[in-house]
Amino acid sequence: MVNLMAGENPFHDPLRFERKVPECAVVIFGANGDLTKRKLMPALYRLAFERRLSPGFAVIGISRTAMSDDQFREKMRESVQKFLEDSPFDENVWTSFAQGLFYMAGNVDDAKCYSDLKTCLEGVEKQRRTGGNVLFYLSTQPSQYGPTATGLGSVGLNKGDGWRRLVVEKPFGHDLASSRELSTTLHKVFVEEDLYRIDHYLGKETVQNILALRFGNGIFEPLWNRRYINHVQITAAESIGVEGRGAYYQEAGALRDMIQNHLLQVMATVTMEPSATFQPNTVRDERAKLLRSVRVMRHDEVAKYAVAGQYGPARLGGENVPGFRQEQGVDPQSQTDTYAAGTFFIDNWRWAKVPIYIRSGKRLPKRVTEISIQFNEAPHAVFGGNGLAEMAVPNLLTLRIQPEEGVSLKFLSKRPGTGMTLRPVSMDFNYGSSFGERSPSAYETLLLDAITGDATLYTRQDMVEASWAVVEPILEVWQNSRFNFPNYASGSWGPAASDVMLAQHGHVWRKP
Amino acid sequence: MVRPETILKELSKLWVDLGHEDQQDSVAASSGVLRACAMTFITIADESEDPTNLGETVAMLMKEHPSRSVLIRLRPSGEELIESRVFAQCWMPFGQHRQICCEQIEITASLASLDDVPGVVLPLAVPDLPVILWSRSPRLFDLPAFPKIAAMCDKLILDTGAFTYGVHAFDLLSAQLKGERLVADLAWSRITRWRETVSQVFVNQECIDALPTFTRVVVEYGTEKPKPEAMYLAAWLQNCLQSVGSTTHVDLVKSEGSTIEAITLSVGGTCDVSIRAVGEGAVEVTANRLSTKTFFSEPTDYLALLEELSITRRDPAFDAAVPVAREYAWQIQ
Repeated sequence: MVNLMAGENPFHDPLRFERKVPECAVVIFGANGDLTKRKLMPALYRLAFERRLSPGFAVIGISRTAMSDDQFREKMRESVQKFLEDSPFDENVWTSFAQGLFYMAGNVDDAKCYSDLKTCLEGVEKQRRTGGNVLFYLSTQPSQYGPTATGLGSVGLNKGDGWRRLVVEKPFGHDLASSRELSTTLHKVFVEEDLYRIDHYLGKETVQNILALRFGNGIFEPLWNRRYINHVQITAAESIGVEGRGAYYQEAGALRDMIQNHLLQVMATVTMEPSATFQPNTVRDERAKLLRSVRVMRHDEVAKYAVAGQYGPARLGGENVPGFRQEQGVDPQSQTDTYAAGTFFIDNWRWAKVPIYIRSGKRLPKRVTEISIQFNEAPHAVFGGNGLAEMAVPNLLTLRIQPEEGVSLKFLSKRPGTGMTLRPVSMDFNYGSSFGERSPSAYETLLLDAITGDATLYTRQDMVEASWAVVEPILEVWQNSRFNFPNYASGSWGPAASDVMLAQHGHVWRKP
Repeated sequence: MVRPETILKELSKLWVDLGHEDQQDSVAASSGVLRACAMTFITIADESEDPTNLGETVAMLMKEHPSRSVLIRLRPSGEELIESRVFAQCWMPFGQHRQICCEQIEITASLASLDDVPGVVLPLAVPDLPVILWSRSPRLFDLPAFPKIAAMCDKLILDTGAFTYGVHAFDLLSAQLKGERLVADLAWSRITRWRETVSQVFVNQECIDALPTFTRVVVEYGTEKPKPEAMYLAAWLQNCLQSVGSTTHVDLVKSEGSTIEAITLSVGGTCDVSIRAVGEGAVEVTANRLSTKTFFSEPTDYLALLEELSITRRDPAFDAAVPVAREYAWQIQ
């Protein structure tokens, strides 16, 4: 018979069923916003559909718009029906789920909002038996993060009978100093263990699969170092422009919006050392350690190792598409980077002198996010004598994050025939065909983790600070530069300077 | 006579044909056919079984567990006979442009030729991937060829619910569990939702602490005699209670209704926890006088197999439940 630890549920069977999540109330600030409609509510509904939520579950939406509970429910129903992906909408599940939805109109700048919320939460706790557990989710303007946390603390909502956690969306500050300032404000109300900084890239199944591929298999790790790997390319390309987010994007730019958070976290996942166990802090310690090992550029190195770009107008698919400066809400002289690329080096024994190239941009030829690991060429070209030297392409391991998640390995193979001609072929693993099951969305995974108190996939303050330290010199130099924008046409793979950046190391960007 | 090389050649031709068909199809020409395989899945069934139903179950499983499927249909005949045919099972995943295809091989064998079947099937197994054998026919286990057939697989799936005598089924299962091979019983998989619901009731510490105080624990069944599912549930509850130091015996009690009608845990006759089927898949859960309703999907072979094919290691809860369920079967006999 199995020996149990004291207090362990003897009926739980991890082989067959998931652990039940605790009862709780999720309080969403900014409940009338896009994130709530497109991501949070569909994710929560889907968790209800999968029977992952406790019967004692409730959502309290807060925003400035006056609305009744029923009007809020109806609005959320429309959003879930519209934005639910790869999943049917079930009327019965919705009816039961909607009973736990509540709404409160309030202005986060007004102290009354928090005392009203306290009263509202007490009522919901009694009605829904949420056990005093509350997850506060800040889906508001970043400038409201600090005041909202302070407001919660002012009425004692940061403490209670159950646990209290705060989820914060990126950006976590706009530079290192503001990130620290935000952290100091949040820490006055919530301890670091109760702060969940969400980076939805880390919640993607395929990003998590990088860890499985690296540390669950014996064949990759021995090759995963400077001795065998020539360089790494990380690409996050979008085919669309700023799509009505011009005003926001103008203040952020590609380096802040994508590289500082998502892509540096992906890089850390690809290059970190194995953690001793798969526990939240051991995994995050390794990620943080890696980010601290990234060489910080000197100001005079930025021109050599980083490239900024901005898309111009073009004719794509028979349609005229505007350049960034022609987008709504964008300054016609804007110096914002809609494309950013950088060469990064990790100063440790494993990765010394291996360039890690990262690029991200809007209006590139296709929507694709992938990591490609290029291995060194075979040390001796046995087949070179047959005039096949030009075919000696290096092995390439590509980890595809989106849209078609999977892994492929490129290697050389003999072409059928009498001669010894080689041709590169690709061995593909496709996530979708190997596992027919639906993958949970990043928000489903991350919300569930926050409710169960698993912070493995959340960003810790030391990781945030380390990433800001990496990009800050680039930001500083770019802020004091005058670029000749636009410097790439919509639908192209970015500015020519980006190709030059790789060419100085004898490398070329892949065309995913 | 069927030769494995011939079947493998036919399979190879099948993929070439699929590739050609796809190239001719202007819509899919740029996308291609994707071949997927995670295991060899062998099904043994009596020829009298409806092949359409069986085919549908296997086809549905393909989407989540792509495999090379081998269906062996047993013909109750004394004449020597082995026949085969190969075909592909393809589907287009939602929102994608590429078909995913898996191979299916159907072999019809008479009982007289059963001894020759392993020789045909073994070379058909996809190298380096697990071989799963689902035996739908209870009589296979009593045939002399059974050990040779079972030796082909890494995991054997049977259904004690299909056996006429529970004791015989549990004896057979116990014997299989002594070996290295993974063994699964669909009757056990069919009670997962019941077990999960019990586990969810005992999610908080207060309830776990109260466990040793339950003096009467009952599993109610609605069939004439308790089916393996009811015996498994009682056995599992018994094991779980023992693990927290309780000596309470779990009783199997006849009631009206379905295979499993209810689970109740009570203190001195007062019911504190009850999980009761209330019809049309609905189950009412009552704990501390608070009631909620949940729904169980119909326990089909497809759902049970879906669960079993996901498990690639020994299941300690199942291993521990089998000998206790066997005792219940002996007592009831």
